[in-house]
Amino acid sequence: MRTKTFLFTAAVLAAGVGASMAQSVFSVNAVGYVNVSLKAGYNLISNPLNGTNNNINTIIPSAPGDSLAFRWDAVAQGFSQADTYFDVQDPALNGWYDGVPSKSSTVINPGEGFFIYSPTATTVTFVGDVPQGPLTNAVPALFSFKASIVPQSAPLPSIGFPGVGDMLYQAWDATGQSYAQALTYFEVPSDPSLNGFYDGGGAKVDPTPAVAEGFLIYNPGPSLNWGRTFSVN
Amino acid sequence: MNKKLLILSLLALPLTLFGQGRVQFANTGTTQITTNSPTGASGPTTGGNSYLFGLYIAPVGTVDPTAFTMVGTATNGTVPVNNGRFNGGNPFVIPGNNGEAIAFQIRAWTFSAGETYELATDPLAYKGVSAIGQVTPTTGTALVPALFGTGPGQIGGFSLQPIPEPSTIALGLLGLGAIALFRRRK
Repeated sequence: MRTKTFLFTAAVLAAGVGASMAQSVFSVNAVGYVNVSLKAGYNLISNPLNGTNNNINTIIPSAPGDSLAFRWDAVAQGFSQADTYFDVQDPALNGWYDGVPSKSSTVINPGEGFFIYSPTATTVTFVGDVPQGPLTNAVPALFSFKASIVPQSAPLPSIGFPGVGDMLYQAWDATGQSYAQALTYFEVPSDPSLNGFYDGGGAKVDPTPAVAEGFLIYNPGPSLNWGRTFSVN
Repeated sequence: MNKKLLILSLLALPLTLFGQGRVQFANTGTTQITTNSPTGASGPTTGGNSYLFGLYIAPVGTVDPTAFTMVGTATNGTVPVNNGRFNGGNPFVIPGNNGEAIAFQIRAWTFSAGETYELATDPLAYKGVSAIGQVTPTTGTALVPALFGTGPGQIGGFSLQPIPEPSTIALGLLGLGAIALFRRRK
């Protein structure tokens, strides 16, 4: 997945002027876009920005006909009903539909990984605000598809990802159309510096998902919170 | 630690294989269902909820149509984008299947004619069947396989035809008989 990110921090909106000029409060929004290249077939991606709303028809307004979007239901531990993109050469009708079919009400917030099936290689562009401030991304028990809430590619341990013993991490190989080899999290009480994800050969690996890339997590314990505070400043 | 890694990597595989088998019980824009009436009104199926689509399954290798069992139905939708299309569940959970490969067939018929393809004997009904395909339903976090497409085991779109009325069949037989008689006298 080749991802190109441009953040326009110049778009600064002042709001919420306080009671006195001396105590003005400003909201600084960083507006930008992220281009995500999709391969033909399945791609595990995420919504990297907050759109005007995060309805799938807002965040991915255009896609090849017959594209599918699969979200994961962490409670049921199965994929939810897929949305289908209908391209009927009519801008008023084109869009993502649920199974009924009605225009989809699916909301995909930043931090959630989901599969998108594209019949052809294409590029989708996400437009919106960079999530900022205190951010919490729940990592439920058992399987879930996650992503960084912030459009930032960084080693997971460096951005507060809550690893626990026997947790599994799997990236998606869109070229090979299969999951990559799983990484396993080891906790070493006698030497916490060894804590981390390890590959099958015993080498320590820090998973570093690309911007807008989703990944599969198996959490063997209770739900966890992946928290961080982020600012573009 | 390497021993633990090996054990965990072996454990990881079954973790992705639990659950019931699922498939994409829906067709696509390139595998539409069409009707072909004697009056020339042909094209993608239209009219919301006017047709039923049944998913029939049997053990792999089955070719006898009577050996297939219906495990799910769907109707065509009510919006224009859905012409020629149906969606019976994506994913659709196949009862009693835990990921074993199966043979499958889609059978379609006029909704008002009956609850199953076999019961739809109304002379005004349209009916049609797909080719027999083969699929291995997936479980857990594995991606859900599509029944329709051009890949191995997948099926394409198909056409629904009107069921000839008994009187039409009788007329046809009479015609054939007349031709045979005419040739014999000649």
